[in-house]
Amino acid sequence: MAGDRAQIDEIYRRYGDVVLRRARQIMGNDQDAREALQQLFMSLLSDPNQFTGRGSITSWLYSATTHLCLNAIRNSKTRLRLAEAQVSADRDVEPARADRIAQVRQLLALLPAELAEVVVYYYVDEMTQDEIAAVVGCSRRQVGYLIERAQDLVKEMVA
Amino acid sequence: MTVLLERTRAEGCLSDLRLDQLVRDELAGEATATARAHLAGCAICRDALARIEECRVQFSEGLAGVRVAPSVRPPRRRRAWIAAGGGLLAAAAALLLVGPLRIPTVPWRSKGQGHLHLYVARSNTVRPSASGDVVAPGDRLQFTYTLAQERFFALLERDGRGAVNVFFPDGASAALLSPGVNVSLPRSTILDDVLGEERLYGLFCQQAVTLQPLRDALSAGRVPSAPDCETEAFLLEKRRP
Repeated sequence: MAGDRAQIDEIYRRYGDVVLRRARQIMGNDQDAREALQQLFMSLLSDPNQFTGRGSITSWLYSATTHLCLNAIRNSKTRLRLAEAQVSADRDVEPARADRIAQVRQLLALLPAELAEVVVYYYVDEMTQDEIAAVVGCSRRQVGYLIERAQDLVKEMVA
Repeated sequence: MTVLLERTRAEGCLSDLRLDQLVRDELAGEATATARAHLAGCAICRDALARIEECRVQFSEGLAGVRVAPSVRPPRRRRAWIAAGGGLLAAAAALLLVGPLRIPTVPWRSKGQGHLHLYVARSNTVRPSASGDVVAPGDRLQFTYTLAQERFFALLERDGRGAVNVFFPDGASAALLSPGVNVSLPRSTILDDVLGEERLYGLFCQQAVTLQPLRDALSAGRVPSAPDCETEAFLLEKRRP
C-alpha cells in the first residue's frame, strides 16, 4: 500500500466504520472506541507498511482493531474505566447477544492474549474457524485448539 | 459457562467479517453468490447485515457533518495559546482539525450535555489522551467537544503549584458553543514547565455562568461547579520526559 495520506484517508472513509463498530463491541463504550479508531489510523499513517497487501484490508483491520482493543483492555486504567463506563456498544448487536458479549468482554482481560483474540473472533464476530485461521495466520486445527483452551479456562474461572 | 461462550448464529451463517467483506465487494464471485443466497433465506444474517449497514451510514454521515470550528467569538490571543487552525504539528494538524482523521459521528448518547475529548501533540505525533495520562512540558493539548445542543462552556486548569488558569474562553463568563461532533476548540495550549498534577475541568452549562466563582473554587482545591452545569474532569501527571 502506498503510504500517502490520501490513500489512508480513503481507507478511513471506506473502512472506518468497521473499526469503530468492532472497537465499540470489544471495548463497550463510544469514547474508548473512538480513541481506538484514532489510534489505529494514526499508527497506519506513521507506518503504512503495516498492511502488506496480503489478504483483504478488512481482514487486516479486524486483526489490528482486535489487538489494539485487547491491549487497552489489559491496561489497568482502561479496565477500571470500562468497568465504570455506561455500556453503549451493545446497541450494535441484537439484544440476545448483548449480555453475552458484555460478559465475554470481562473475560478478555483475564485470558492469555492468543486466547482472547480467538474468543473475540469466534464469539463476538462469530467467525468460522477457517476465517479465524486466515486472519490470525495459523492453521484451522490450531484455532480449534485455542478455542478449546479458552473454553476450559473460562470454565475454570467461573467455577 | 457454556451459555456464556455460545454462538448465536447457526452453522453456515455469515460472520460479521464475511458480511463486511460482502458489502465492500471483497468476496470472489462465487462467494458473493453463496452469501447472497444465504441472506435470502436467513433472517438472522439479514438483521446482522442491516446493523452493519446502519453503522456504515452513520459513519458516512458523520464524516460529512463534522464541523471544524465552533461558532464562538474569536478570543484574544494569549501567549501560551496557539490558534488551532494554524499551529498544530504538520503531520498531525490535518488529522485533528481538517484532514483525513477527523473523528466521525457516533450515535449521540442522550445522557449528559456534552463531552470533551483531549489530544496531546508531541514532536510528530498526536495521541488521544485521558485521565491518568502522563504529559510533559512542551506538550500541546488540544480539546475537542461533542454537543447535541447549544451549551455555554468554560475550560479551567489548576497546575502543579495550585495556580488556576482559564483556558477557555477569554471573557468573564462561559462562551456559547454550537452543537457538533468532535469540534476543535479554537486554540490549543502548550504546557509550561510546572511539573506535577495537572487538573483540567470543562463545564457545559445551560447559562453563561460567571467564571470568577469557578476560579475561586478551583483555587481552593474544590471541583468547579455551578447549577445547571455538567463538569468533565481530566487529571494528568506532568513530568519531564
